[in-house]
Amino acid sequence: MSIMKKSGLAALLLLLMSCTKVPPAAPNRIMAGYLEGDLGALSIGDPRWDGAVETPIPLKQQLIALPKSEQDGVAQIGVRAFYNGEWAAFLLTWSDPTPDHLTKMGSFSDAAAMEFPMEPGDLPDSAMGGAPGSAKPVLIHQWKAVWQEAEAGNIQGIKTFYPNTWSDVYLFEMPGTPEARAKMERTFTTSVAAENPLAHHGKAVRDLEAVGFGSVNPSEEQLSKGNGEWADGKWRVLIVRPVARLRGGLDTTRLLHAAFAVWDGAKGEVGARKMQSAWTPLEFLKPAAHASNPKGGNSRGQH
Amino acid sequence: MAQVFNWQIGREMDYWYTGVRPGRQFGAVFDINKCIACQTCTVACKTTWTGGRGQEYMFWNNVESKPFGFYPIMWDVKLLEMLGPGAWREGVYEGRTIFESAPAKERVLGWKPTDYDYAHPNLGEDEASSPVDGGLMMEGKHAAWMFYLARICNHCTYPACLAACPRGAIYKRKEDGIVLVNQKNCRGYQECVKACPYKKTFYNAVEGVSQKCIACYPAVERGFQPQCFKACIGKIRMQGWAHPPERAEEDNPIDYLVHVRKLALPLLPQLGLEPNVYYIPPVHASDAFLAQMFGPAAKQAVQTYLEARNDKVLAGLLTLLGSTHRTVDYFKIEGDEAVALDAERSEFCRVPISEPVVTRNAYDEIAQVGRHNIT
Ligand code: SF4
Ligand code: SF4
Ligand code: SF4
Repeated sequence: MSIMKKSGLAALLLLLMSCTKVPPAAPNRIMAGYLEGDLGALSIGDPRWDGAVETPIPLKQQLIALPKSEQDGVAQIGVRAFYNGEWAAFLLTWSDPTPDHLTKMGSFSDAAAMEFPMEPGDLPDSAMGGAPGSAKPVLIHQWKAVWQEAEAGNIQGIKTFYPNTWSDVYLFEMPGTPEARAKMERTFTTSVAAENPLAHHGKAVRDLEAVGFGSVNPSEEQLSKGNGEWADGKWRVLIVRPVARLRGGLDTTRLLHAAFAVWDGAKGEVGARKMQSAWTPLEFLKPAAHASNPKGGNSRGQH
Repeated sequence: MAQVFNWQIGREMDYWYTGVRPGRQFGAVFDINKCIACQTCTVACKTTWTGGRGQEYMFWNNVESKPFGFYPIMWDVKLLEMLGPGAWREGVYEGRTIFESAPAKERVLGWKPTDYDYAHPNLGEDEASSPVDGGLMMEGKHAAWMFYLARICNHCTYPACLAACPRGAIYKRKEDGIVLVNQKNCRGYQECVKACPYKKTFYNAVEGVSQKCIACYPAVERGFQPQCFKACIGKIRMQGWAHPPERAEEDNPIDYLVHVRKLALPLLPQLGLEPNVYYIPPVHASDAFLAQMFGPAAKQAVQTYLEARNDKVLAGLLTLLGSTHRTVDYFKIEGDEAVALDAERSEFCRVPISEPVVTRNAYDEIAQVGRHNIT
């Protein structure tokens, strides 16, 4: 409240607030509470999330690089966070009337990502580190609904989209040794044969690095994990990452910054067509402070 | 946007990248008049390249019946409507290309197909081909004509698929101008699918990447024509190397047909991609339709084709279409024969320009049987 007291307008607001019931001001920074234990095993449904403060973060359409979205997607996400010496866990929540986890011609997957600067000093442009040439590196943790399905073994195929389809035998299903058939299948799955690290195989959450628009590529260290759950018109997506990394580790003794992006598949958002945030301060609450204020300390964000 | 010169529209135009022509450019000529829509080409490509999961609906080569056949549905009609009309004046296109009419938030003017658009690979197949009285099967928009249009990727000089990819995952090879999607780098954004006006990139939903005709580069690199060319029953196709007019070689078969005789024409040149598959237009379709589809030179090309039988060089070169599996770098006419030459101008194939004609009686006296015209 100290900022508000600095102006007459704020005083007037306070007067009004005393007359009406006003919810507590939303924090303008993410406050990661300290939580003992194996955060790597934390789940979306863990009741301790209820005790974490959710920071609302506005999203705006990506409007620097082409192509851009034709319409606005998700306008806001809420972010909650916990950390300890080993892990940092982030719960991202946003409204989306339809869960889109299938991609086919003209259909896209829901997705979300969070981003950290990889170098100390001035913050890079929050849009992938900036324009190529002047960009600075950023570390990204991206979740995609379609990747999550693939990780769970639900690799989408023609039967997913059209259950009653019938197709001829695939060449790699012809009689032959398992090795020969596997080799043939690999040949006919070119993204696998070319070792594409970002195709629809592998993990729900991937670690990426970028130095400018259009440069996102997998990080050498794939350490993050997580998953998403959709219910009642809302996605809740958990992204858990180790605090330490060879590149892009988090110094939890300092005020850091993170940026976020959400893609609404139903609105055709993919790649640069997305909603994104500005850099948002990320504060790691000290264990003692957290212990004295298990809700995360709302007032700490307002100075 | 950079400025590049597109000889097919006779002027400079906007393009996303500075134009760098490859050392040589994969090129092809298709003689539409000979296509019988047997789809052998389609099957040849399908069994060679698109037998994988997620590729079930893909036809890198397809053959559609014009004017009512499409794959995907309405691919050309939709885009032409978005683009609007544009006039040609003395070989110069005065309208706007798909790069010049890109909406503010896009790199290229395009539309995004859904799976429904691919659900009928040749909707309108053989429409207008049934027997008719007096040459007309119906009254209405136009007289009864139709033709088959075989299509592969055009390995365009200014590819829209490449311009639209925000990751730079599509590239045009310096050595032969073949346009490929890097399967390691693609993230499946489908921007290329939206941007390619010919709809010759396809999204593989199982793999999460886009895929397209690769011009059978393993064969082409070894001096052989692609699978869909070799398999063509109608012998409508020839693969070689295409040049811009100022570098045209008279004994290069593609250059000869495209630049010297102006018989083979690009598909929808007004879109601005400088496609490198050239078509000899059908002789029996509407002039206006052909002008829209192949540019203002279509009517003259039809006339040239109708007179080709009296032109030994042209007739000779056309007999080489489908006569060899090897890439025809050069050709020459010797006497009554057409000769295909390799890059060193060594002969590897020779065909007679006209076959002897034998007329037989309708009734075979020896076998005591009537003859059909194929016996
Ligand atoms: S035809 Fe389409 S896919 Fe092929 S090079 Fe041209 S723009 Fe790309
Ligand atoms: S050139 Fe090769 S890859 Fe392209 S359509 Fe023909 S057979 Fe298929
Ligand atoms: S194989 Fe040749 S004749 Fe048959 S449909 Fe294809 S292009 Fe036409």
